[in-house]
Order: sequence, then C-alpha cells, then structure tokens
Amino acid sequence: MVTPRMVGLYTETVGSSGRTRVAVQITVSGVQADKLTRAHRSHGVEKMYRLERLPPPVQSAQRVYVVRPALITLKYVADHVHSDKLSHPDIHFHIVVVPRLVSWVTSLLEEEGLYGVVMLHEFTPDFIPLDDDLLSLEMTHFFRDAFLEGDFSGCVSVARAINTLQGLYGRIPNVLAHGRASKAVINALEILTEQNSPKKMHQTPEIGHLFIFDRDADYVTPLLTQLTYEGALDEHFGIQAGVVDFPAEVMGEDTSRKIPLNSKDTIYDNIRNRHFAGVSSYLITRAREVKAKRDQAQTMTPGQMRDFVANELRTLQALQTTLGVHLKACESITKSMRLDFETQLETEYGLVTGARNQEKAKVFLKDCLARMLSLTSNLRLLCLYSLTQNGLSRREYEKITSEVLTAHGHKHLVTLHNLRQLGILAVSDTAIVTAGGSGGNAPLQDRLAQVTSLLPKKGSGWRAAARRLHLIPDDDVQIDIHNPTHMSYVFNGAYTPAIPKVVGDALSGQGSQSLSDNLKVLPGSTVICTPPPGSPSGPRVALVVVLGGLTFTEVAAFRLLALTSSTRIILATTNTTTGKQLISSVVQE
Amino acid sequence: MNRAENEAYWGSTDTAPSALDNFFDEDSDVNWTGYSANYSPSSTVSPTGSWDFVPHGTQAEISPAVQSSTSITDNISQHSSFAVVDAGSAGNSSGKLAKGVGKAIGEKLDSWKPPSVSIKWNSSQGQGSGSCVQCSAKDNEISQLKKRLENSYSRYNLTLPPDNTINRILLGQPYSLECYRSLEDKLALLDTALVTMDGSAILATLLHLRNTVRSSLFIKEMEARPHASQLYVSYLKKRYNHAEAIKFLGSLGKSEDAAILAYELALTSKTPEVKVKNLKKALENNFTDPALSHETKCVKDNIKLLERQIAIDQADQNDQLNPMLVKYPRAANTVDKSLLTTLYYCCMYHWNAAESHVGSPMGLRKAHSFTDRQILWTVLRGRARVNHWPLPTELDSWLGSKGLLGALGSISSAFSTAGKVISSSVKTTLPIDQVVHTLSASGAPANILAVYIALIDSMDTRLKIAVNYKCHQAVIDVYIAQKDRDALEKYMKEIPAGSPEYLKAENAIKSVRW
Repeated sequence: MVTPRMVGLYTETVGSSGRTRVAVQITVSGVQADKLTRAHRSHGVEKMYRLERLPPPVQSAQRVYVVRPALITLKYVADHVHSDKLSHPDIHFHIVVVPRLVSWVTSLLEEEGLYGVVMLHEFTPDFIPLDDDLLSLEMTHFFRDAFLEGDFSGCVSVARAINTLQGLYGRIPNVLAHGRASKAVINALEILTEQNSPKKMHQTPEIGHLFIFDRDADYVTPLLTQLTYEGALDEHFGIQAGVVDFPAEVMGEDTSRKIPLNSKDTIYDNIRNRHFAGVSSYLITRAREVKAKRDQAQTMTPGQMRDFVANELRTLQALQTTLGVHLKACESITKSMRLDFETQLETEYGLVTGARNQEKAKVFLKDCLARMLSLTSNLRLLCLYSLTQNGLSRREYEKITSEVLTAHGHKHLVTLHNLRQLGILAVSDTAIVTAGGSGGNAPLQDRLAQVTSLLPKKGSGWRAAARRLHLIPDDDVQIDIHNPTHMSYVFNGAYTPAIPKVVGDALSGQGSQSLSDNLKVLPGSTVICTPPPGSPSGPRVALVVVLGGLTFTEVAAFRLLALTSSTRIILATTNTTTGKQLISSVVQE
Repeated sequence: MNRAENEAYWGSTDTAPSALDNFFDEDSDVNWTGYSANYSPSSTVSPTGSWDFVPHGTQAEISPAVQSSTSITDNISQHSSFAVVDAGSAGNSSGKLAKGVGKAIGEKLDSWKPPSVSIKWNSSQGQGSGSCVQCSAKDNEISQLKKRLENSYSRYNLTLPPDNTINRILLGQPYSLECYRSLEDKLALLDTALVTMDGSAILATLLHLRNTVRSSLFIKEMEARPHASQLYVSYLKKRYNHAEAIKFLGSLGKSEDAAILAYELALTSKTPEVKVKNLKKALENNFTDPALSHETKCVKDNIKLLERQIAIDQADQNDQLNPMLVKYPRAANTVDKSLLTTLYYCCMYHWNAAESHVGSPMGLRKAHSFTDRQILWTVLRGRARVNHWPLPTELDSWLGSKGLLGALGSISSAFSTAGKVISSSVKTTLPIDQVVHTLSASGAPANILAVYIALIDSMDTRLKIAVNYKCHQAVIDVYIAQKDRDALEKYMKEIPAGSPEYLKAENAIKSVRW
C-alpha cells in the first residue's frame, strides 16, 4: 500500500545511496505515518522532522519535504530554502506534494524565485484498505476544503484512486453520482479514462456499480449521536485510519496503546456493528464461554491437557484479552455518558421525526448552552435543530446564537458564519435582510444555483428530502435493535442514514427515473450512467464512495444492506469521520 | 507586444507578479541548453540503476520540465506495467467470484506497484536490467522530444482549445495561459475550469485573468461567478492578504462576508489591547451595513467584555489580599475567555466584592445580558468550585424579576420565559435533577441537596433522586409528606443510628400524626 510506493518515490527523488534529511509535515495519520517512518529509515533517511516555522539543522546534502498543497506550508518551506540556501549552496531540496501538485504550489514557488531551485514531486496515494470492505484516502482536510472553501481540487486525487481500482477491476458499468464534489470526481474520472489504454475498456468488470455521494447529501447522520459500537468508539476515543488509541485505563496498562480495529479480530467483527446497548451482554456471554472452556481444563486427563495446551490455550488467552479490552472500553464509554444521555437521544429523535415538542428541544438546547457543555456537542444539537426545522427564524437565530457566543466566546461568530456557509445552520426568513441581499445564505445558494437550477427552494429543505427519500421509518415498522433487519436500527429506528438508503433503493432496482427525481431534493445534481445495451452490467458488487467523510454508523448500515440485498458493498471515502470532527474542522481556532 | 513592452506602456502593474503564465518564457532557452548538455552524457551512462537519475538529474536544471517529464515517463511505463497486471489477473479473474473482489482488494492494492516503481523493481531484481535501462533511456528520449514538441505549440500563440488546456492542468501536464489574450478567451478558459470544478484549474485561470485585466473588469466578471470568487477569497486569506480579500468582498457587495473576515483578522491580534483597538477599527469600517445589526451588537459586546477582562486581570494579577486568589491560585486569567467563563471566574474570586468593583459578578451581570438559565447555572457551578453551595433563595435574588436588579437581565428573561417573569425562580428555570447531580458531584452536603430536592414537584421523582444520591434527609421528608410510616421505619435501617437524620426520623415517628 503506502510503503512500496513511498519507497519508490524516495529512491526516485533522492537516489538510494544519498544520505538524506527529511522535514516532514505528517499529513498522513496513524498507521501511515508509522509505515512512512519505517520506509524512510530503510532508504537512508537519517532523520525526520515535523515541519515547523524554523528550518531543521543542516546536516546532509539533501532534504525532502513531504507536504500538503497548502499555501502556508509551502511558504514555510520556501523560507527554509531561502535561509539555508545562503549558508549551504550545495544542498538539494525536494518537495513532495501529497496528494496533488496543484497550480498554486507551483506559482508560489515561482513567486519566491525558487522554481527550478527545488525539485517538485507529486505523490498521489491510492485507497488504503482499512478493512475488507472499507477503503480510505485519509484526506482529513477534504471536508473543509471542498464544502467550506469551495476548493474541489482533492476530487482529482479521488478520481485517480478510483481510476486505479478501475484499472485493476475493469471499468465499472453502472454509475450513480450525486452532489457537487461527486460531479467533480466524475469529470476528472472521464478525463483520466481518456488517458488510459483502450485495452482496459474491454476488461470484464468485476465491480458492477459505482456510487459517489457528497457528505452534504446527509448532514443529519453525523450530527446524531452514534449508537453502534464502532461509532461510539470513534466518538469517545477517536479511530484514525482504522486504529484506536485506547487510554491506559482501558488497556489496564501503564500507557495508552494503539489497537488496530478490523475484521481480523473475530470478537470485534462480531460487535462493531451492534447497537451499543447489546455489546456488553454479548461480551459477557463470550467471556463466560471462554471461562467455561478453561475450567474444563481442570478436569482433563494429561493427554487431553497436552492437546489443550498445544491447540486451544493460546487462542483462549488471546480471546480473553480482547474481551477484557472491549469490556473495559464499554465501561469507560458508559461512565462518560452524560446523566441526561436519554434526554439527549429523545431530543435528537424528536427533532428528526418531528414527533416531540420543538419548544422542549429548544429549552434543552439552551440548557446545554448554559451548562457550557462541549462546543462541538452544543453546535451539533444547534445544527440538528436548524436542519430539521428547515432553518431558524431570524429572531430565533439571533437569540440562540447570542447564547452560543456568551457560553463559548465571541470569536465563534466566525464559526457560526462558517456553519451557515455549509448550510447546516440557516436563517429561513432571509427576506428580512434586504440591504444588498447580503444574507449569509446567499453565497451558498449562489454556489448551488450555479451547479444546478433544480435545487429545492430554501425552506423546503431537509424535511421534504426526508419525506421524499422515506428516511423516517413508518410507525408500524418493527425495529429490533439487537437483531436488525432495518437500517434505521443504528438510530433506534428513528432515522435511516440517507446515503445507504439511496444506495439500497438503487440496488433494489428502483427505476432510475424515480430515483433521480427523488435525488433532486438533495443539494447538487445527479449523474447516472448505465452500460450500453448488450454489454455486461457487471456482478452484484458495488463500490460506494463518500466524499467528505463517512461515519461508522453509515458503515454499519451499509454492512446490513450488503446482507439484506445480497450485494458485496465496498465502501471508499476520503476519510472516516464523526460529527465532532466535521464541526471541529470549521470551528474558529 | 511582449510583457516588457506592455509594462513599459501601462506602467508598473500593482498586482502580484504574474505567476503562472510564464512557464515557457524567454529564459527557457537557457534551460534548454543546459538541459541538452546534461542529457547527452547521461543517456550513455552505465546501466547500474542510474536510470532514474536521468530525468531527475536534469530536472534540477530545467525547471519547466519537472512536471512533464515525470508525467510522461509515467505514461509510458504505465502501459508496460498494466500489461503485467492484466496478465496476472487474467488467469484468476475469469473464475473468480464476485465475492472475492473485496476480500482481495487490500492485497491487490498492496501488491500493485505504480508503473515507475515496478520497472525499477524488476531491474533491481536483475531481470534483464541492461536492456531495460536501454529501453527506458530511449523512452525517455522520446518523451523528452514529445514534450519539446508540445511545448513548442503553446509557445507560439497556437491557442489550444480551452478544455484541452484545462485537462492539462488537471492531469498535471505542462500548460501555458499566455496564448489566451482576448478577454473572451480568458473567460472561456475560466468557465471551462468552473465546469470541471477543479480548484487548481479555476485558480490558475482566474489569477491569469486578474493579472492581465484591470481590476474593475475583473470584479465585474467575478460577480457573475460566485464559485470563482469564493475560491479567490480563500486564496487571498491563505496568503494572509486579508485586506485585499475584504476589499474584494466589499466590491462584490458581500458585506456580511467582508465584515466577518475583518473580524477574523482582528482576532489574530497579538495582545488583548491591540485586539480591542483592531476590533474597534473593524467595527467602524466593516460593520456599517444595517443588515448586520446582530453581528454588530456581538462585536460590541466582545469589545466591552474584553476591556472588562483586561481590567479584571490587572486588578487580580498582583492581588495578595484576596483570600480566594491565595486559596485557589488562578490556572489562567480570564482574558479572551467567554462571558460565562468570566462570570464563573468572578463568582469564584469576587463573590463578595462591591458592585462597583470591576470583578463583581453582580456588576458583570448588569453590564451584559444573560439569560436566567445562564446566570443560575454559572453561579451554581462557580460557587461549587470554591465549596460554597448557595441556597435556592439566594439564587433567586440573581434573577431579573426581583427588585432593581439589572434591567437588561429582566428584558432577556422576559423573552426566555415568555411572560412568566413573575414566577421565574430556580425551580422553573433549571432542570432540578441536573442541578442535584452537579451539586452532588461537587461534594455538596446533604442538607443543601435536600433543599434542592424539595423543589421537585413529583414525590416519586423526589424519592428516586433522594435515594439515588443517598440524601437521607430528603428521603425522610418525602416519607413524612406521604405519611408512610412503615417505609420510614424500614428506611431508618439505612441511616447510621445517632446521626442527625436518624434523630429526625425517630422524632417524626413519635410526634407526627400518621
């Protein structure tokens, strides 16, 4: 995955014998960073640095920077080069831009007079398999770049990664893409496909369906509290590139430890998608089984005992450790749950289903603000409130936001502005703001209008979409959260995550016309490709790409969908995320 | 007319140096010479792994070649490597079930080498390395020639169709924007970029436009292209050119965006004093639009609060006389914290201060607007922090409805409780179960808890909470109120004999008429 490519890159850039100093801005997290380090060590990289404002000491003739294409980062690098070039004219500088060498990087270096002085390289990572069915590009900045700042340049990198997959598995015949970023990916993918050798076009497709969605197709899912075990782990401890960092008290050791989370761990595979309420009882049952087996050993004959020690003991011990860790993790999550956790859930579901008194929800929100609960959790609730009400009235907006500023600081005026740019916080009666039409919603609306004129009018918003896509299960549907058959189990049966729902509808053969009609209620436009008649439509394997972050709740819903629709679903995303991360990425520092 | 002449004619341009359009400028000739001098020896170089030095060694000298040589060698090697991959997968793919795809996906990605790497790997494993190096040297030569040919297109104003150029930017191939001279061409280029949505292409083309047309024209065209102007603003912001961004937003008529940006800029001030000054300046210059009255008020509040915080900090910094400051050393000062944090701080350290004192919580409460809920929660938490638990009656005096206390406060509370001003009290403002929880977590004594528990209307809830927090007194009160003598007698077993609660219960059993 990363290693061979990175290694290749290094030998290309610096030559395998060169003694090199690397100033690295670790843009890749978790596993990747570790692997990078190891890869570098084995290729004569003497030392790695985190990129800082001041240059690292000059001790070798070559220096490599691995950076994101961010202007400020590049400016630091340029300053380093300027200062070290004077004292050490013979030093060689390399800049490796990950994931894409974009125009402003080149032009900044040109402005700095460094074009040609430093060697520029580009490294585009491919999807990193976090699990059998989950791929990630670990582009954690994608959400902010694309949805807040309108910079969709990351889409080209996504398209390249998809293109690589198509190179391996054949061109995917059925495509459904919806949203602005998805459109950009499709565009770039077309351009890349033209560059491919025609031979690949005729490869029998091994993946039948490609779905691409933007995060803004469903903001409600990340805003709701996650209830699956994996989702809860992500919210409480943070899962980075498939690795969780359990604190010392969970591990029962002196220090925290990083534990990979994937289907190789059979216990984890069994509990990850379960509703949190059923996890500890399952773990306890399993722990009892293990204990019973070990107890049996007490009465074994020497021959049996030898057999037992040789074959089973080790597995049992490993099982016991894993069970212990997850039980401790459960305990730690339960302990940190707020006293009013139930009220929180009731409020969230009341807002989504529209069943609960909205006034009560508002009082709860204001109480949370007065208690100065964490900023992200308060903003999550506020945005959920705004989304499900299709925007707040001007007066309501002003009142609630002043309470936000009072509780968390006035600087969050900027945060609120950012949230409005994203459209997850909105003022519904913009008519009041007449002067120059400069309401905060204008930029978003303009932007959307440019992409498609088919957008729903502001105000028909989320509620209409939920009804159209049937995201709120009917009252008479029985939802068993422990033996789920319906995807809404991830939210106690109150709400079905929209992206899995749409994919499910498409896979179940709902006509593309009604589907694209339904999708009109979501922001952005739809691209649908079907194979030309006569050509194979491909096997029931679907690649689902979510741009801007995928929550583990959605992953769980997709895994259930894969079972119920007997389709193999491979999920790919720019990064795995939580509501906390989404909100934090637009919070004013 | 070349650019030098242009500049001579128009005078110096005040825009940033033209950034992207001089890829193939006059001086590139120098590079070419340097390049060929370098190239010829390297093509005959020994076959021991210097293959990859050929293109890259030259890159150091010829800057414009960097991107192109990488991408073209990539393209060439790509074919060969894909042939390998195809052959490999052809064997098993036909019989492979669909199910296998995902399972194998990790391994397949793992084992797949990008084109350029896989060739190197082959050669390093000694598989016909000699010939391969020869081949790649030839391939290199071909690709370099190809590139020279391509470059020569764009050098002589042979205008490529816009989508062709945009695709080149997207694919990271060399491109030139110099040949797009007419406004029509430039806009066509920008619009093509906007259709692809690629940030890199949009920014390149819009900077080309900015650098080559006068600014009023630029702004006019940007007005019609909101996505482009959004990207341009975030570009200016990232370059710390806030002033330009604010001006640009202003000329587009986006006064709110401009105001927020001006505010954001003021936030970056280094010291609180400078921040106050900058905030005032931003307020004066950018918050003039009447539609921004709410935001203007927020910024004014921010300034007022910051000034007060600075004053509090000055007073407390060296204060050795305040016993609270000695007993609970400050973890941090309150400058730049939120209003509620400041109130919390004042409740901790200046609870008894005269209202005229800068740190007085009552003074702060009057100077700023709070909701009752915020006041009560913060006072409770702030006092609990210093092990003082005010009774509900003490707290009621903080509410806006009573007496002469803060006119501002009562206005805000009038909104929040929608007319129920008269009856506003702790009981109606806060969820009491949460309050009890908070108090208990901060170590409040049982008699305080009992007072708060007694505020709950429902006897059942009261009992449940009292038992939960082991507040014997409250439990006894409930049983007495419910006239449940049996339950009380039973409960007495839980209470340590001889404790005040026990005596109270005993007394109740004797005296009350059950």
